[in-house]
Amino acid sequence: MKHPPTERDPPAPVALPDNPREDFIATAAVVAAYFLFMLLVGFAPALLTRPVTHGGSVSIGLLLGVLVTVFLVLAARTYTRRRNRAVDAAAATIEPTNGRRLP
Amino acid sequence: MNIAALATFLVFLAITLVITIWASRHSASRSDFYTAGGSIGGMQNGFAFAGDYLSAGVFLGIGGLYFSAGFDGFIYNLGGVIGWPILLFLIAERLRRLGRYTLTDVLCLQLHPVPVRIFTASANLLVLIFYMVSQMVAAGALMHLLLGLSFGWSALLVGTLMTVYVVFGGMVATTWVQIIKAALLLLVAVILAFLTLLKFDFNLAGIFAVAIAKHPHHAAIMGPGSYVVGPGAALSIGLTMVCGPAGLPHILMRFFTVPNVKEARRSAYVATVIIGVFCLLMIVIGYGTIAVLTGDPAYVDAQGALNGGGNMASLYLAHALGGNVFLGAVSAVAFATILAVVSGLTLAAATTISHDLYSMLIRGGTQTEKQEIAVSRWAAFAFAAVSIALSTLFQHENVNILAAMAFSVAASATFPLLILVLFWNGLTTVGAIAGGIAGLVSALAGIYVGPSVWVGILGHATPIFPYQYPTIVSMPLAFVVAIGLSLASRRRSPSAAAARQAI
Repeated sequence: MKHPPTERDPPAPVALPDNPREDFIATAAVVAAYFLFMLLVGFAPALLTRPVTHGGSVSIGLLLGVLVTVFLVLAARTYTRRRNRAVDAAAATIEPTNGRRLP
Repeated sequence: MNIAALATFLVFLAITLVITIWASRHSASRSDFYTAGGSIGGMQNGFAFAGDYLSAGVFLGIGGLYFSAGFDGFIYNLGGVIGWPILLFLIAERLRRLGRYTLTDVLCLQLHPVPVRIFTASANLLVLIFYMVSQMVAAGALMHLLLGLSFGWSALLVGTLMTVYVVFGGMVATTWVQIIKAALLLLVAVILAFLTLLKFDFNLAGIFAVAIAKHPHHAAIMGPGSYVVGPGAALSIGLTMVCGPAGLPHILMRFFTVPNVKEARRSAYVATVIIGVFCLLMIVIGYGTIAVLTGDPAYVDAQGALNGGGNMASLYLAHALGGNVFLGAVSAVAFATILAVVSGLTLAAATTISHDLYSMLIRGGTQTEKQEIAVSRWAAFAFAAVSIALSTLFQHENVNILAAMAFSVAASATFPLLILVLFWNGLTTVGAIAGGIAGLVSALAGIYVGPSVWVGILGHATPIFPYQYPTIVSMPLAFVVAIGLSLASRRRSPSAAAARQAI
């Protein structure tokens, strides 16, 4: 239950890398994938019900749905790794201040 | 009484109570009580996040939806995944930087605190009580079916245990209850999916083929069916699921339990993985319920409906594949799930009352930490009592409506304010309150005149509003009103930009 001591958030004005553009691109990607799927649910249910292979039991909808799920997870993974690596890189450039306030 | 159920549940109870005792010795400060002192790791918090979402309604309700309609179960389940990447990309970092304990704190940084606290606290309590009653009613039904416990006793048992966790253990105990339960639920889902695959020689397509052959709708169960019909319904569900989680107070609070932004991101990512994996496992389990249970007189009646209601599908599958022992274990985990979720809700409600209303609004921050925690504990008691009373009152209602209300209000009243305050400098207090009220009122009105209440409860022939979730109208309305009135009132009321400058 005890955790190794981890760094707390630095006090306010110390800049963490903030990349709103990346946030919006990531959000747009997952929202687009999800709503594309939901629009097909709304407009083309017959297409989604059709089997992927002739006579098979797996439907196009199920295959697409699984792909969307996997895409959401991979998007979250890529984003988290990129951003957390950026935090580490930024932290490495900050010199120790020995308790003095940063300018 | 199922011995395996009792044994599994007693083990869960013993572990969680030991943690609660441990936590009670270590949570002295306000930040310990509300946010576990920021001491939870990203991985653990991810499990706890997943636990917050994976309620019994998800495990049992979605299993039932698969059994009756097939693919529609998947549509609802996927909706549970999409909220998490959004929280990760847009909310996690910004919320961490601005807030300390609650969403209301973040809003008050930039807006006039008195009206904002009153509004967001009321909206949060409304969301929490809807969610709570739906969970309590589900728990009562489950206990009645499994142990023959009456609704009153079951509500009292759940109410007492959650109060103990929250009052004595605060966020530390609540989080660990959630982590253990999420891990157990995931394990149960993995075993259940494995047993289903084992029965069909690990031929997934074979499970679908048998399900198609047995289900009265045949091949139609592989595509959208009777629950999600038409573009409007699909979009409305989609919007609710994308925006709802980011407006739920007990979820947002959890971002403050980790030590830094990095761990906050990691926790939302871990939650996405767990809920995504659960969604994929439910495909096997869901179609497995059709393939295994359909036509078996031990589980379904002559009309093909499940004995004891649709929610029993996952549990019956466990019984069919693993016998009484596995059924007992799964039932106990389902009960633990409810217990964990209501504990999280109770803590969020107690925090809203003690921190947002009592401490910051009534006392203006002049009380000591000890006084605030004491108020918080009493608030947990009061919230539990009100929940028990209300759930007894609503025990015969369709609880899905209540859960839909919670999500719709969260997506329509809280989410727009959070997004505007984080991303737009022009939001004013007048705009925020008016937009929030517009979203709240239109969401409730939309549900009232929608199919669940207008047709389902009041017995009218056709609904005035066609969709179960009103979010497609109420959320844009909240944004429009908030932005419009902010622009109109900008001269008189200081905007967020000015407040941000001051910070």
